[in-house]
Amino acid sequence: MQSLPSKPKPKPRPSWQHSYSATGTTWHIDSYDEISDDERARLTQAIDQRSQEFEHTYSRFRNDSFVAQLAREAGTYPLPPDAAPMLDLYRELYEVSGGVLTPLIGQTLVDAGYDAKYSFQPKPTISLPPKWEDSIDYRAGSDSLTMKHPAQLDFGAIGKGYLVDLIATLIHEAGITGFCIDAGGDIYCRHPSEPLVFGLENPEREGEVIGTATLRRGSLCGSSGNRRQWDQYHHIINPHTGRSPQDIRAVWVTADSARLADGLATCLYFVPAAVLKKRYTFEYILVMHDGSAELSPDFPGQLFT
Amino acid sequence: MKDSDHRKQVIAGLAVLVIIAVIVVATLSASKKNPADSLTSADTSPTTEPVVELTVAPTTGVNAAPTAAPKAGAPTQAYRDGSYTATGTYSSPGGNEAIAVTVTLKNGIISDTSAQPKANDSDSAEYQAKFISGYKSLVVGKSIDTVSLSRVSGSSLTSKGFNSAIATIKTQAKT
Repeated sequence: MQSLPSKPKPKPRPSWQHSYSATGTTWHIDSYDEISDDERARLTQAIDQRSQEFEHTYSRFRNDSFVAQLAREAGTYPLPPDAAPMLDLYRELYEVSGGVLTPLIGQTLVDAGYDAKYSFQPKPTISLPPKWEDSIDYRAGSDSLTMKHPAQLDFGAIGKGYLVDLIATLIHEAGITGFCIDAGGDIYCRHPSEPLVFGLENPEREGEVIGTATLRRGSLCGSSGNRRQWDQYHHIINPHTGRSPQDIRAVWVTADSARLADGLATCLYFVPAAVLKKRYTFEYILVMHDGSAELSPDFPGQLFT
Repeated sequence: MKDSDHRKQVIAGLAVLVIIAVIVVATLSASKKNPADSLTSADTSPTTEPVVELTVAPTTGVNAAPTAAPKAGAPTQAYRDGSYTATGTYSSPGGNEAIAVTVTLKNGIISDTSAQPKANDSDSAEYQAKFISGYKSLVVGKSIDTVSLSRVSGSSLTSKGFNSAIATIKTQAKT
């Protein structure tokens, strides 16, 4: 673990930046390497296009998406070429979490009011998701998927993190060695010369941070339900109980990939960190509703106390 | 289960107490009124949990000037910089208990805080110790402008549509 210097150095300045809208939020890309105008135009166009393709495929808020098709009709579907790493991780985390992290949560979220229109009007009773085995036939690494019955899938727990990883690959392949992707608070960075310092936003107050994380290479993803709560729900719902967990105020995870950090941040709402640690390499911070905080011993950062 | 529920309630109660204490000291420092006036206003504090029937009694420390003198020519702000201490009392199943809270305000933000247990009952002492060991991590925040940061990581749900829809619903709920 890196200890912070007592006199903070000025933060590294990006050579250029690119901001755009995707997944319902604003993405910022900071590049710490100079490239020619032509290369830059090509790269930013590729990034925008990749993001649009991804949303077109996996968004449950679009009628014309691949996910919308699976919600309409049972059958065997050829998968997009990039689907396997995300689905494989979903399947793994489904098992590790005892079925708590599941893409089949889609209808439950819709019933609770988190629908395409953002109605936030919960139905009197909300349906609980079916079991994976009863709904989906998918073998790890396979290029097709069978829906045994139509079902509303939701890739919100890992999807954004996975898109961050895909964009990171694009940037890296363009020859850029120092960069940072900020997908509305979910972060991936590579910065060979010195680590970057990220603030951990106070879930209660915008414009305030309660700690920092320091990364040279890897991802930092956070999740909090507090400020974005409607009725008794927020964006995470336990498929076994139909309720949103209320005892955790905020979670941050650092991991090698953004999809893993993103998925584990949701898992930590339900699964003890020790269970997840047996299988995955990551560090975490849990801020509980009673005001206490749990920090993994090697978390690359600090909470202000 | 019951025990942990009870513990949660007590700890939630203590959290409310600390917030009230902070508001009371801050109000006192800002208004420079007689502490007794502010005390009556503290009685209107919301009672959320069963154990939280609170009156906040400032110690003599509150009457005293802040330990750090306010900066001359500092911009106008609601709360003066400085350290403030207050003792809060509350009724627990084991009798009346108290906890002392100190906060340091800088530029309107709590830059440091500590709490001293003053419980008599052993259960209350345990709850207070548990509370004190954990509450700081949330209460202490720093303004983003004062920390050198490349980016800020927050909720993974920062969708503008989502946020504005929630805000609309909250407004509707009030009317």
